[in-house]
Amino acid sequence: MGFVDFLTLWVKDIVIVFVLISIIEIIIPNGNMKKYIDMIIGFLIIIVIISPFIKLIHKNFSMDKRILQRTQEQIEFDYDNKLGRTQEEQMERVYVQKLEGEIKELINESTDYEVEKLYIAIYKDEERYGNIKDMEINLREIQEKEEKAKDIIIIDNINEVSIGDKEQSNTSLVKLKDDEIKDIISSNYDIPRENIRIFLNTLGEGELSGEDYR
Amino acid sequence: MIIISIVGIGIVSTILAVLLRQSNKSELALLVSLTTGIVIFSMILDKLKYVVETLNNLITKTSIEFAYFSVIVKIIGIAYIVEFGAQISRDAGEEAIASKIELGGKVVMMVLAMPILLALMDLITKILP
Repeated sequence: MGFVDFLTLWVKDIVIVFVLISIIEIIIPNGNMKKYIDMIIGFLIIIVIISPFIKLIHKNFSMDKRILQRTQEQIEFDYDNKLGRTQEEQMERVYVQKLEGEIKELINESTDYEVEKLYIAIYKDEERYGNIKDMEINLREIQEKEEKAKDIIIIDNINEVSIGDKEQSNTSLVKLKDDEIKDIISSNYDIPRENIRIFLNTLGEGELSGEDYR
Repeated sequence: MIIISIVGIGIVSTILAVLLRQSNKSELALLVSLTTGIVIFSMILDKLKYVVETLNNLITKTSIEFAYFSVIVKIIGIAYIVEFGAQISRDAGEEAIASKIELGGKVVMMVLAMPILLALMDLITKILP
């Protein structure tokens, strides 16, 4: 965008805003409320004058999106009229997200699994508020996909308990790893071990015999 | 011709209200003024809609974001409604109630203006190095 174009747009915006404001000045009631409307119109003028410069500095800065976001928040609390509850829910959500991030990182660092899905429920009663109630972890082994990529049916959520007898050795291996993860989590976050449920997503188990299964 | 009917309704109801006040029926006079206000307002409502739509068209021609304009229109509407209620209360001699209505209007207006204020703050902090 050339300098002249920029200047034309800017001047056009300012002119139209001032025309608009003079119309608005006619229709606003001339009582006590006038000075408040004047203040907001003043904000509008400042925004119109300086917002082209912000677009020069930060290319994809959208004021509209910001205002919409904030208005959305406001509409929420205006119309539900449950300000306290909404705020609480937001806080909880942020808290749970933070916990999830921490646990994912912990598992990634300390074992050779990565977390695929993670559900955390927290206590909502007074005295234990914020402690983790229970946790469900879907794990996936970090492995090279090319190894088994062809002709394989992928089965999700294989629980290690449901694996049959012939895969006994294999099951114990998975269990061992589970215990390790449970130990790590329960020592770090102070939750009972039986409230942690861990599932392992094994790739390609459907087509392969038990012996081939790693 | 709408202006003649508006002024006519206004004058007739003024005379009515004065007569009612003189015969010590000020509560009925209050009702008359309330009704007059509502009738006149509903008469100009479609014209007001036209004005707002025109302003809407004007604003879409600029690069100004639409969000500000809708906030301003909402604030003007609030100001009108609040003024209406406060005038009625003031006519009835209830200065305290009128000022409470105005307080409510001011708070709601400020709440509506907050997004603009916060966006402006963002803008200013972004533009400073």
